[in-house]
Amino acid sequence: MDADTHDEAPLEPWLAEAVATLQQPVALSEGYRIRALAALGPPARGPARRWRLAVALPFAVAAGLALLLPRVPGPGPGDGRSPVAFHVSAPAREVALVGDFNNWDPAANRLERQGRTWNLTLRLPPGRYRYAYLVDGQRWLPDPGFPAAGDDFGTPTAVITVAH
Amino acid sequence: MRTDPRRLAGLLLLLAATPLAAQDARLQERLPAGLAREVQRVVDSAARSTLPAEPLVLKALEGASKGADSARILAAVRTLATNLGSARAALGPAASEAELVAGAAALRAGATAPSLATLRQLRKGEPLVVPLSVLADLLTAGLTSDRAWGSVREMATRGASDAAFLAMRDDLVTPARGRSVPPAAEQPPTTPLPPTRSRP
Repeated sequence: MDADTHDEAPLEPWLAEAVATLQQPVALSEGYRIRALAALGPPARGPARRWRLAVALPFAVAAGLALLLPRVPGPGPGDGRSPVAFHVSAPAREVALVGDFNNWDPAANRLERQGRTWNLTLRLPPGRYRYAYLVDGQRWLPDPGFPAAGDDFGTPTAVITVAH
Repeated sequence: MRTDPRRLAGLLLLLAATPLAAQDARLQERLPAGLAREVQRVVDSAARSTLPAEPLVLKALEGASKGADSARILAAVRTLATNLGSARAALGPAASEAELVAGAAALRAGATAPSLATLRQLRKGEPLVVPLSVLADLLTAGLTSDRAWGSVREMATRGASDAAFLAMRDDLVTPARGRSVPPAAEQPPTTPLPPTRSRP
C-alpha cells in the first residue's frame, strides 16, 4: 500500500477570505476596555489584605479611645514615691519650699501662686522630712497644718512623715 | 622582698587623695572651708560606724541655709550623729536610713533607747518609720513621755497600720496646731491654711 498522503487542495475564494479575516488580531478600543473592567467589578480581596486589616483595626480603635479618654494622672512610675501637696497662704512676692528633700536649697523648689495661695506638689519616698517655707528669701515660716519639728537653729520648722 | 620606693610613694599619694575625692561637694559649696572639713570628719567617722552620711550632710546644709554660725552647725551635726548611733544600737543593724532618721528624731525629742528597741520587737519585719516619727511628733508637741510612748506602744501592740498611727498623731497633736498666736507686731503676715495635704 502506498503512503497515505493528503494533498492540500486550494480553498474556495470566499473561504480563504473568511480565514484571513479571522486570523487578524483583535483590536479593542480604550473605552471598551474600561467598560469591560468596570463590569467585572473590583479585584477580589485576598487573604493578605484581610490579615493586615485585622491587625491594624484594633490598634486604630485603641488609639482613638486613648484620645477620647480623660487625662487622669497615673499611679506614678512605681518608684515608691508618694505625691505630697504643699500649700501656704501668704502675701509674698515668692515662696520657696526648703527642706531635707532638696538639700535645703532655697532655689530648688518655688511654689506657684494661685491668688493668695502658694502651691507645690512633690513626689517623695517614704521617710521623715523636715522643711519650712522661705518667704521672699527672708522669713522662715513653718507649715501650720503639720507638726512642728525640733529645731537646732532657732527657726520654725515643720515635719512630714511619708508612709510606705 | 624589696619595696620599690616609687610604688610606695604612689600608694601613699593615692591614699592621701582618697579622702579629698570622697568629700561631699555640697559641703564644700555651701559651708566655709573650715566648717566643711569639720563636718566631713564627723560624716566620715559616722560612715566608719556604718551610719548614714546623708542626714548629717542635710543637717549641715539646713544650718547653712538658716544662717546659723559654724559652732551651732557643727554641734547640731555631732548631736545628730550621736542620736543616729543610739538609734542604730536600739533598732539593730538592719534598720534602714529612714528608720534611723526617725529614731534619731524620737531620741532628740525625748524618747528612750529602750522604747525604740521595744518598738522594734513589737513590729518585727515591718517598717518603723511612721511609728518612730509619730513618737517624735507627739513628744515635740509637748505630750508627756508616758502618754506619748504609751499611745505608740499600745498601737504597735495591736498591730495598727501606718495610717492609723498618723491618724492618732493628728488627733493628739491637733490642739497644738492652734498654738498661741503671737502679738500682731510679731506675727508674720501669713495666714495658715487648713491641712489639705495628701497622704499615702
